[in-house]
Amino acid sequence: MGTVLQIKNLTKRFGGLTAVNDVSFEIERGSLIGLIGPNGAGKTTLFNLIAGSEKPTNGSIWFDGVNITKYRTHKRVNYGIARTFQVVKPLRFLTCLDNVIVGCMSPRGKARSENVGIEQYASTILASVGLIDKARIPPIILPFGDLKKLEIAKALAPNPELLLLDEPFSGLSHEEQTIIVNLIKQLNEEGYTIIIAEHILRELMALVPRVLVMHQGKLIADGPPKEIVNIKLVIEAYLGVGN
Amino acid sequence: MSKEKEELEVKTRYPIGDPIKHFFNRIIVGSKRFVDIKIPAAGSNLKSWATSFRGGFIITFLIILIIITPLMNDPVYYNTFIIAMIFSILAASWDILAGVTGQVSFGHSAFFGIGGYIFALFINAFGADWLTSIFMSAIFTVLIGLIIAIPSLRLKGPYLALGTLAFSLALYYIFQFPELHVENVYLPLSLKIFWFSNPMREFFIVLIFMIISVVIMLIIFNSRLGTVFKGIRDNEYATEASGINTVKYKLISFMISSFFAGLAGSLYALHYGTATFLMFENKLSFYPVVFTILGGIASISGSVMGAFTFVFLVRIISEFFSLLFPIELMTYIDTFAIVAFAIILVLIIRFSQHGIFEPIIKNAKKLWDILLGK
Repeated sequence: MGTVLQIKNLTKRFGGLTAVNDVSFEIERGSLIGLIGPNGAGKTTLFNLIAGSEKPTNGSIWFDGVNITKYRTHKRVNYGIARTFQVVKPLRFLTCLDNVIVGCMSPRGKARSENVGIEQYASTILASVGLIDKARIPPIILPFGDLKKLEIAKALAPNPELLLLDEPFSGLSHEEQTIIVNLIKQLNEEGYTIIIAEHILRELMALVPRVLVMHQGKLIADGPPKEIVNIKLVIEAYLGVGN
Repeated sequence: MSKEKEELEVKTRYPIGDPIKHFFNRIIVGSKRFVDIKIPAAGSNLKSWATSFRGGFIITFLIILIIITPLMNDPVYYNTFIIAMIFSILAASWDILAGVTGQVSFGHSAFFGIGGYIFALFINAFGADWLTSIFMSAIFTVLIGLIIAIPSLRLKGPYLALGTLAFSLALYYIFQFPELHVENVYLPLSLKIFWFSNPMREFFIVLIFMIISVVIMLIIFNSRLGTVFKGIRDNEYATEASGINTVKYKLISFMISSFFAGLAGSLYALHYGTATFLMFENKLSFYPVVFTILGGIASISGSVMGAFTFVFLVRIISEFFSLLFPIELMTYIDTFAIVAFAIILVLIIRFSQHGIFEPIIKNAKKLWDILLGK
């Protein structure tokens, strides 16, 4: 057990716009966390900062006690952080299996898959998200729901500890969302630490025991869903200040 | 839980401390893994390619050409074939970089010319034999090519194309400056006698180089290293997010590409007996682009077919034209060729993006199936 992720005073400014404003929180190993907030609150920027695509203007990120703030994305992945993208980024001209194999070719993924063989391991990952029958098919012809599953499979490929899921439910039908919810539950049971950024609240609030709320770059609430929905700030953030 | 055990395993494999030991450990483990990457997928893939219709078509085509050539014994034909083979190595090397890894360079003549010059230097200055010189020139092209490759790693898209173009242009002019005392290098007579006394000798040696080079590049293409390269081409951002050090792999791609481009350059210098600044000419940068697009980008066999088609086509057409047009106009054949390229390129990109050979092979396969009564 222990703290797997520590965010300390993280700030990101883009010229005049402060996308992430002095955010601090800690995540325990094995927890399942929701990150909510209206559009433009800074959720994706926060994910970009944790994953390494953006450099913070201020603050630090600690993973398993290591200061990873200055590390490049691929290095962070090999420490154990993986993410999915809000706008899915499949490798269009490779098969689904190859998409996962690329992640398994990272040093961390190779270390994990060495005993069973990369192709076998990649097939296992595809099977766990339910895409095994589409292994030899390129993603360009797959429906959107399958692309979302492929994103998760690609994130699982380098054998991460922490999964950052950026809007995994958006654009899916109710049945498809349920499938993803069950997948996330299963992954959390297997030991993955998962942070889900979403604004489809119905599924999320029923799923996660702890929610972080962002608004205009700031972290305005942190607690169980039942408490969060009653906080005035949160209601104002989503519905606006009214009577 | 087993996950804890895995954690420990992973942590001991990635020592955070002791960077020097870590560095050497990674070189050793890395080179072992590099071999492992290529070999497992290679054998079965090559066999399955060779026995597929497409592979069989290409192999048959090559075998027929190889049998016809000594029978015809025509020096012009030999010359065309040898140039086609050299250019197919160049085209395939460009394809590994651009079609497979997505790093489109418009300055491949830089590696080509460096290879030629170093080859000639080894023969003249160090008195080495041709075989050693060819290998040394390929290796040194990689090393010197790092000067071009490393800055290019930061460039993307049009900037990469222009940056590499700039390098080759710079070399083209540098090698003309009398102040810099970079002279054209001429190969010794003894070598020329060995090489050219029997045209079949050069033909078969270049053929062996071409087959080995193309086979190696095909193995890389079909290996997991190739998969990583293709991932970088398809979406570099996503590949980096999967834990791949894209900078490292782009560098590997540059090194493989410059190795074979330098090899092609040394064969070219050997064929013409000189290494001059003309080896850095722009058109030699555009040739591999045209050949590869003609034959099908991201297909090593396509770039080979494209090179052969183009070289033979130009030869046939210029033979034809030399009958119709006066000699004065023939000196402009190069310009006509470039204009023709540009038009062909635009037509292909507009109508047959994946090269003209895919449709040809598809139709040939249909014909074959009909003949076999399927």
